[in-house]
Formats: sequence, structure tokens, C-alpha cells
Amino acid sequence: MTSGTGSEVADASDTTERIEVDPAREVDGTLLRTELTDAQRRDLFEQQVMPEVDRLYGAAMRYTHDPTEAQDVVQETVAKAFQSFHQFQQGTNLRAWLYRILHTTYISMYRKKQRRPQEALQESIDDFSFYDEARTGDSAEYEVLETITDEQVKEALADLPEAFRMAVYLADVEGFAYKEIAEIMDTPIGTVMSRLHRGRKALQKALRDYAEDNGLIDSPGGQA
Amino acid sequence: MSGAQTDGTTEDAVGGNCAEGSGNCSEALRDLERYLDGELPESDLGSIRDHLAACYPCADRATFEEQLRAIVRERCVERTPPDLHAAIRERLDVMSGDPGPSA
Ligand SMILES: [Zn+2]
Repeated sequence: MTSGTGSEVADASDTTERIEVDPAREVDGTLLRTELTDAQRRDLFEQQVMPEVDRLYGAAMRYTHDPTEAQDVVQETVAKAFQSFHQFQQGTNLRAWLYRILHTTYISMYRKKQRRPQEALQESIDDFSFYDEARTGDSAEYEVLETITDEQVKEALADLPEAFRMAVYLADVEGFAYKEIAEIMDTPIGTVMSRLHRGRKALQKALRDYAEDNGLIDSPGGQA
Repeated sequence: MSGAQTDGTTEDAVGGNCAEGSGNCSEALRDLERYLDGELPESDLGSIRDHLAACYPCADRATFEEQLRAIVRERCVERTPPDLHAAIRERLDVMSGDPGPSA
């Protein structure tokens, strides 16, 4: 794939794997098939994938916590996506496909030097309720939330074990469905659901502590 | 577990103070996360919607959860480094054997 990308090469070899195109998905009246020229494929990629780069970068920041590493992950992700773009089934879920590539790319690039081993979350979070605690102070509940800063949210997420962090991020920030998260993280839906549930609890607990630091919530003790 | 929905007075401890409301608070709270995630099966939507419409404590909790998610979403935005798009395009140019943007 690195050299010899003559425009006719792909056509002959790919005839068995024709991309079925939903007529509604035609771009400027062009049928999207494997017989796209390289230039056409590049244009299509440009149209469909480049608009996702900013969001991919946001996700990569949550994976790596480092702008340089995040840029590397996104570049690598987009390059891989471009290489296998002919395999992408037009009309299927492009975002989930891209995030799946992002996820595996991150793992192959950085998982090894991860600062922390995969941890489980402590047991004690299950009956935690931010809502109940936010109501114990004088402030309105929403006021309590409003004091939480960008940095605090990012810190709180960063402190979650990776699998929990990514599940929560993909659901709450990116809006992916359970099934999509399961595909992206290559894990059963039941696992996604429990990571989400427990990850959110742990996130809420961390945010609650920040709210306390911010002075808008009483210190613990009042609540059983 | 089978929903005793019509007893009018639910004295569920879970919600803290769900003194009234239609249906069962613990059932609603059990389903709330999946409901907010848009993952509750069609068949269960009616009962939680009815419950949230009638039970203030559960509705208030649901609102808080939604606001919390919104806060996380809004606070997580990153500013993409200005050069990233250009760097990616350059790399795509190389990969597609293109000497560069011709126009
Ligand atoms: Zn209720």
C-alpha cells in the first residue's frame, strides 16, 4: 500500500468485494464502488472522514492525556482508515468504524507504556449517589454542577481506569450506543453496561469531591 | 420484580422520599440509566415515562443525571492543534502518491 498506487491497480484485484451502495448514499451522483479512482476515493475520504478529525482528537486526548501523543494517534488512525477505506461499507456506521480504528491504534501504540495497570474500581462506589449528596447543601443541584471546571472533568475522567474511562467517554461525550461501544472496544455489551454504570458512579464521586473543593457542597458525613 | 404499578402509594426507600407517584420508584430507577442512554426497549418506555411524569423525586433525579452528562460533555471539549489537519492531508498525499494539492 505504500508504493505503486497506480489508479488501475485496485480495480482488477477487488472485483469480488464490491461495495454495495445505498442509492441514497451517492455522493454528487457518483456511484461509490471499488472502481473509484484513487482521486475519487481521496475526495470521498476527505468529505467523510476529515470532518471527524477534531472529535477523534478529543477522544485521543482522553486516551493519551498528551497533545503530542494524541496527534500521533489521530494521524495514525486516519492513515489506517485511508488504507482500508475501500473496505468500509458505505452506508454503514462510519463513526463507529473510525473509533474502532482509533481504539486499536491507541492500544498498539501506547498501551505498552501505560502508566498504570488495568485496575478495577473499588467496591464502595455502588451505592454512591451524587444527586443525593448534591441535595444536602444549600445550593441548588444544578449550581453544584455548574461550578465544576473543564480541568476537573478531564482530571476526573483521567483518574478512571482506562476501560471505564473510554466507555463513559464514548457514551456520554460521543453519544455512542451500547452496541457501538461494544464494537469499538471489542467487548460484550454486558461488559459495556457494567463499565458504564460503575465508571459513571466513580466519575460522579470524583466530581462530587471537586464540587466540595469548589465550596458548593457540604463535606461528607451527613449522608449515610 | 413484576411491576406492581397501580398501588398509587409507593414507599420505596431507594428514591429516599418517593411518597407518591404512579408506579414503582425502584423499577424506574433501575431503568433510568438505560432510559437516559436511549437503550431501554420500546416495551418498557411507557412505564418509565409515565412514572417520571408523575413522580417528582424520580424526575428530579433524572434531570440531574442529564445535566451531569451535559456538563461532562461540554467540559470535555478539546481544541485541535492548528497543524493537525494539514499534517494529516500531507500524509494522505504521500499515501496516495499525490505530489500535493494541484489546485
Ligand atoms: Zn419515583
